[in-house]
Amino acid sequence: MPVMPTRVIESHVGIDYRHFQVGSRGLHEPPRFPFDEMPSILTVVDNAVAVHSAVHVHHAAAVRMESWEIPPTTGGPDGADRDERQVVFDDDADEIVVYAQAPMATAPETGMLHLNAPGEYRVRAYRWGSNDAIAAYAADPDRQPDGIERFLIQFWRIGDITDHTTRHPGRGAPAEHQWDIAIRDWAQRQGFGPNPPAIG
Amino acid sequence: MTGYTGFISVVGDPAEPTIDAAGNVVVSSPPQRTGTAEEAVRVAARRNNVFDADPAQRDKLESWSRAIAAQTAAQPPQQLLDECLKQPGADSPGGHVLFRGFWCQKRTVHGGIIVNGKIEGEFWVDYRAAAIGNPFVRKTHVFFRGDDYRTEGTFSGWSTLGLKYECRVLTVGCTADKGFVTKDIGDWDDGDWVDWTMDSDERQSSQEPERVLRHILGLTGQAIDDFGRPTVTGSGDITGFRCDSANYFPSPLRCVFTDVIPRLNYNFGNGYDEVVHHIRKAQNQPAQTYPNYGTPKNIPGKWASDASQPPLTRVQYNGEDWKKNAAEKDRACDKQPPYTGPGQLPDFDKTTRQCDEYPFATTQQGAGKGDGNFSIQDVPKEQNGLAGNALQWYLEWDRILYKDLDNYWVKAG
Repeated sequence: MPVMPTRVIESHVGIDYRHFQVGSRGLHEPPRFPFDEMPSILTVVDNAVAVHSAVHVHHAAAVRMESWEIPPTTGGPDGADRDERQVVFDDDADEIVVYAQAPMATAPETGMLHLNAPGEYRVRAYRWGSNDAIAAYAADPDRQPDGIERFLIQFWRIGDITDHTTRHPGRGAPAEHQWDIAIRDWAQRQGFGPNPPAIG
Repeated sequence: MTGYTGFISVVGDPAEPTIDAAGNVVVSSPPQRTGTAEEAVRVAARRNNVFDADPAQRDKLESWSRAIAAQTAAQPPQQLLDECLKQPGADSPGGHVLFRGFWCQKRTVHGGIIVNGKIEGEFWVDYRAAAIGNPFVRKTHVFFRGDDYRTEGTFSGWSTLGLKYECRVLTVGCTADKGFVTKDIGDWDDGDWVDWTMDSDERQSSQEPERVLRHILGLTGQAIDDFGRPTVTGSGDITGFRCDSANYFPSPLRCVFTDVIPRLNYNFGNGYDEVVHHIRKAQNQPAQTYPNYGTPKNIPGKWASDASQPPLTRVQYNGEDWKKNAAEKDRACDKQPPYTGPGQLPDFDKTTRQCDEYPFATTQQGAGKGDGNFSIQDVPKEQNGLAGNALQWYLEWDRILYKDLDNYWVKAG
């Protein structure tokens, strides 16, 4: 009996600033990726992952995200670019839920992928079709090469968060944003606060 | 009771009584505001309400944030209040907007009774005030605290003074949770904060889909001297605020103060210096940018100490304007027709560098507008990613609404 992912979502996701973002539902503000390394595909911060495209023009990539109980036994096609990182998801909820969107999008562009309990996860990414997308654009610059570059993103939980967990907090918020964070903290202490986001 | 008149105002306001040539006290009406977005920008520029973050202060601000988060009492965050009150405009008639989420003021309420053109009694109550635009609901919270008082003539510490904050001029949809709070004048300096909450009812807005309502906050007062003579009810406009229900923010309901210049500060030293250089060049030497047509360009978005330079306005991600901007930028960066002649961006290594554009794709003024007033430049891809991150944060932080509902400017370096 083949081992399969427990949950799967597929969708087209916009590429802007040559990447898209996978965020956890517990993320209440945009993730601040360090971007100071030259990743092959993945940059991680706590509760979010940036997935880098190899295509230099705007387009929508075909994205499949999978949730696994064990290290995945299937992957992308031969010749696909591959990268793997460790990421912490520490949402207050019992179950981690992630989605993908372009950096400037104001709402998720995929459905919600249910993972497992909060904890340390491995994330593995495969990327292929990038050269085909570049060639498609060169052949017809009036048409955005949507759905040609493809990504497979796989998540599986490896353990609880401990004192030894390696965290990736991301870059600090700009100075002025600290004030807004302070206002939000203040408002929540006064009994105001965000409603829990809807689960798709 | 007849034969007298009274006044109440805030010291230094345009409506503060004056003495005419005959030695009589003259009370005038305060000038009224219109509450439009354009007026807010003019007011903000006049008051120099522009937030300019100093990256070197980040550590201090982070410690403030922790301290503010620890506060539980219903009072304004002390650190923000202290920072706001030391700004030059805090003691002005309009107070100071520290940023779109916070306003403050330090002034004096002044009132008196006039008989036959002469003042028989007066009082002064020094105060500090602050207001917070609620980040989660359409409410604005206003706080007032008396610091000291003085009286003369027919007023004493046992005379009464009622004060309230209210919506003025643009009152549609705006209600306060309470009216006058009245105390003996001598009790206004007891150190307690008094607060009012302004509600903005989205159902009263005819604008779609953000359901924007603009309001003007005002302080109103009335006092009674020791002979039982009431002053007229005096008031003044203080600051503008706006509430919306824009569902393209993580918090779809919010109120913000509008008498402040919305400005994205792209400073050096934040990991995207080449992007800052690019925007500076686009704003200051546009004719030298790519694509270089050999003719002048007029690239908008520079804040030049007033609103004389055209602003940027935000468009929806993946909407019609955004798609046009993205497609045109890609054509220019990839040297596709019509960007095939001389003066195009030189080739660069696309594995390590990305093509940056200004104005941004998320503006109505981007490359897709078709007037040629845009610039492209290759920058290190990590810098472009960080700058994009900063833009993403800014649009949310300053709650920039789409199109003509909001303007913003960019300071580079």
